[in-house]
Amino acid sequence: MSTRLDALRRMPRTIMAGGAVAVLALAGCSPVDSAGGTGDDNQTEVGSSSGEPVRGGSLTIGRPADIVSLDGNVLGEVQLLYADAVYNTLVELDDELQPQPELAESWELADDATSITLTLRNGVTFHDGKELTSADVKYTVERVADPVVGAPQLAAFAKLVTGVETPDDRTVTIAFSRALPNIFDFLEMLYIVDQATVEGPDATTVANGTGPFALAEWQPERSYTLTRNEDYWDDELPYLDEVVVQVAPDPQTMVVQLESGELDAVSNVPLNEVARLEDGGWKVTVTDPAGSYYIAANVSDPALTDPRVRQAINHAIDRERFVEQTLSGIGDPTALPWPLTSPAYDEEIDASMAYDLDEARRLLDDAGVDSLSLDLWSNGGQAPLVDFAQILQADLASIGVELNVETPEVPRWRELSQQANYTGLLSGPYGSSNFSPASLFLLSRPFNPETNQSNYAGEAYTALVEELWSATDDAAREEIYGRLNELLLEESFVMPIATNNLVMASDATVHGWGERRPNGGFDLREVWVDEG
Amino acid sequence: MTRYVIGRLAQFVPVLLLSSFLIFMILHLAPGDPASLVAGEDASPEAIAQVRRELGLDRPVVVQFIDWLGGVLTGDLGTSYVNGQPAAELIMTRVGPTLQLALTSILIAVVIAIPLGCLAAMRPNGVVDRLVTTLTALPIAIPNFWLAIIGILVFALYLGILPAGGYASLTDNPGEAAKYLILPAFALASDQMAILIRYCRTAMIEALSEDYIRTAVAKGISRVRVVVRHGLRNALIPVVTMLGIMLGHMLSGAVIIEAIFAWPGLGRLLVQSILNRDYLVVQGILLLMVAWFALINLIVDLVYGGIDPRIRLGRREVAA
Repeated sequence: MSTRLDALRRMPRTIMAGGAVAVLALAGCSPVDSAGGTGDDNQTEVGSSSGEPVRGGSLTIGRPADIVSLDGNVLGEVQLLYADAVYNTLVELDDELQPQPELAESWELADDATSITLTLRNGVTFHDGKELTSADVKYTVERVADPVVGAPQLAAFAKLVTGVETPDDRTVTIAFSRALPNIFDFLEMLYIVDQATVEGPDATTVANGTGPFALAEWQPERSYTLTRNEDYWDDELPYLDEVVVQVAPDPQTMVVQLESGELDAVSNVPLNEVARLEDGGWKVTVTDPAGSYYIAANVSDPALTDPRVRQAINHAIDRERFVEQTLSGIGDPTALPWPLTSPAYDEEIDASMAYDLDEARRLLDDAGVDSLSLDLWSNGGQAPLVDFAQILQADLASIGVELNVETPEVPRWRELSQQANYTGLLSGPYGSSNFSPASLFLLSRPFNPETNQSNYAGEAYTALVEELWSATDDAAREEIYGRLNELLLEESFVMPIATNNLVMASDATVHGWGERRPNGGFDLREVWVDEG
Repeated sequence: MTRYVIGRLAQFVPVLLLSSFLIFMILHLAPGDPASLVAGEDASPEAIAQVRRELGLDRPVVVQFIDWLGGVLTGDLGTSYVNGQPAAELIMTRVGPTLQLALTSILIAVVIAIPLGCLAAMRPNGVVDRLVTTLTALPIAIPNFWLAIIGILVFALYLGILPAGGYASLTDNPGEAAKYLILPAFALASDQMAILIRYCRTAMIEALSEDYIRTAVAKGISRVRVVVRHGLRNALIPVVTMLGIMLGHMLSGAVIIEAIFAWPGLGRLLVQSILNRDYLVVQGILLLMVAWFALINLIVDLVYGGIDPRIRLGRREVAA
């Protein structure tokens, strides 16, 4: 079902919508249809009103939190815009998750996918003028294996690297301990840094990348300023001369700052403000989800060892209501780990895990469970999940399951999750579901066959994930996705609830804001401002 | 006098030492592991253990405390686990904005509260008094974060005359800084100001009912002179105590106002550091705040002497 909409979504924004957007906005109609909440219709994009990008100008962007580090290898929500502006990756994944050249102009993946040889673009320089060489790539790949760097996703991949060879300044060969057909996901996330800078005495005040913008100034907790990299390897880009990123910790204030013109563009718009901003004529983009909300069941809890009990809970999750009531209708309800656009998504299998309290009660009867008392540890930093806990509590009560809701603050929740020593259920968000499906099982803890916080270690599951990892052709993968999806629902040790979509908004004169890379980065290269 | 001040300053040392120790222990008792927050959500248990080792968090808490204390004595507050920046540097960049906001708020509160409090006290239960007491109930009852949001809506969105959020330094750009200061300073001052008005009123009513006031009036001194010279001077003592406490609170407790107005102050750093279990930064901020409170108390005590010569801290008291 998603093919046609996919095609629409992937059309360049300049072709879509065209001048119609301005008319719609004037007429008070919403240029973005995000209220549906089901299917794909919340992904419609706002196109630019005229074709030709304007060069120059400055853009002021509001972000909910400041960057924590100038290090391009530190990943995480708050770093996304900064890292992608100041640094480059070796390859860039397009919307089809196919690698496109970035710092590497070509590459060759070995037939058995156990090594890759990349050829670097010629004449790329860091902001300080130093030329990019294969040594920088080797350094970065080896560096991110260290967990202290703070990039667990990169470390997970880097641990599989057995060696990095640099036969000459422009050639790098990376060898892995196993077949890694999804290596491009790693390369998409790996921003190349300069050793002398990150290990130097000024690492906390100076940034040195090869990206389209250079860091001009950082005033912690206030703002940072990015200026156009005049020596950027792509002569055409970026369009903007300057980007000022202001920290706006209060989401309501941030929206007012957009409306009053203090900010030109914002990210992380509160979901309950989306409709109002659309009505006011602002450009609003619901971005593709990179993850979902989930509930994990600790299978070592005696109450939850029987998969039928876990299935019963899975059937008692009212996903539609979660999206409608706690996400203002923004998000796709799904019991499968994937965004609906993922090649691994299967609508039919998804539908088999419908909200059905009668079925849930029947499963409990089958398992010989009359009444049950369970804990739910809901991540205190995730308001939608905290609200949903009450909905689930009421639904479970109607089938004889008492749910005791705990909302620990984030550090405590993180500890419970990482040590997997909680009782009953745990809810939180996960990411990395938009990469190659195989990567989810490496990058996202709830699905990791070895370190998931459900203490689940089913042999069939581990074997299937292994099989997916090594599968190198699409047909084989398709077939494994189906079996994995079915197994995930059958075992129900982790229960996705709905996708987690980020909303971005901007003034009508800003074009291109709302594009995100698969690695989550906010792509500023092609953002431009229509001064007229 | 000098000896008294030195004596009082010397008393800070055990206070700071004891509070640091307590804070350190309490922080480490709180659930949550900085290593797991640094390593990231999806980090493996081995990775977390490695981070814990590298940050020195696997050592006994007492050893960590002594290590930290040794650093403090040489002026090193340690580094943030989160971003490797020196804790002292992180804290110092926030002191300016916090002082700027707290002092402006106190100034607003004092300039408005003391005249209004006096005016109300001059004729208790009169029209002015009733008006003042009724109106001051509002800011006490309305949470200041709500006032802040309404202020943003009215002045930033509808009128467009003040920015909704942000900060500029008073020393770099006073004009710009004042614009950013107005809304948060008033929001922060609102309830404190109302409390201060009532406090001032009560103290004044009490002072004005004293015998010496009657004597002063009988001598034929002008009404204003009676109120300001004789009444206010005596009423100020409890008011100054109150001001000291308020300033202490404003320096440490503007967390919500800081977040609403994107103000880069200490309160936000403290909350973030607590959420990140960034122990050394939290420790540094709390140390600073304890020192602040102690210092404000000392200043308040010294100001008493200036207001009322009877409690001036001369040599005799210190020697005793």
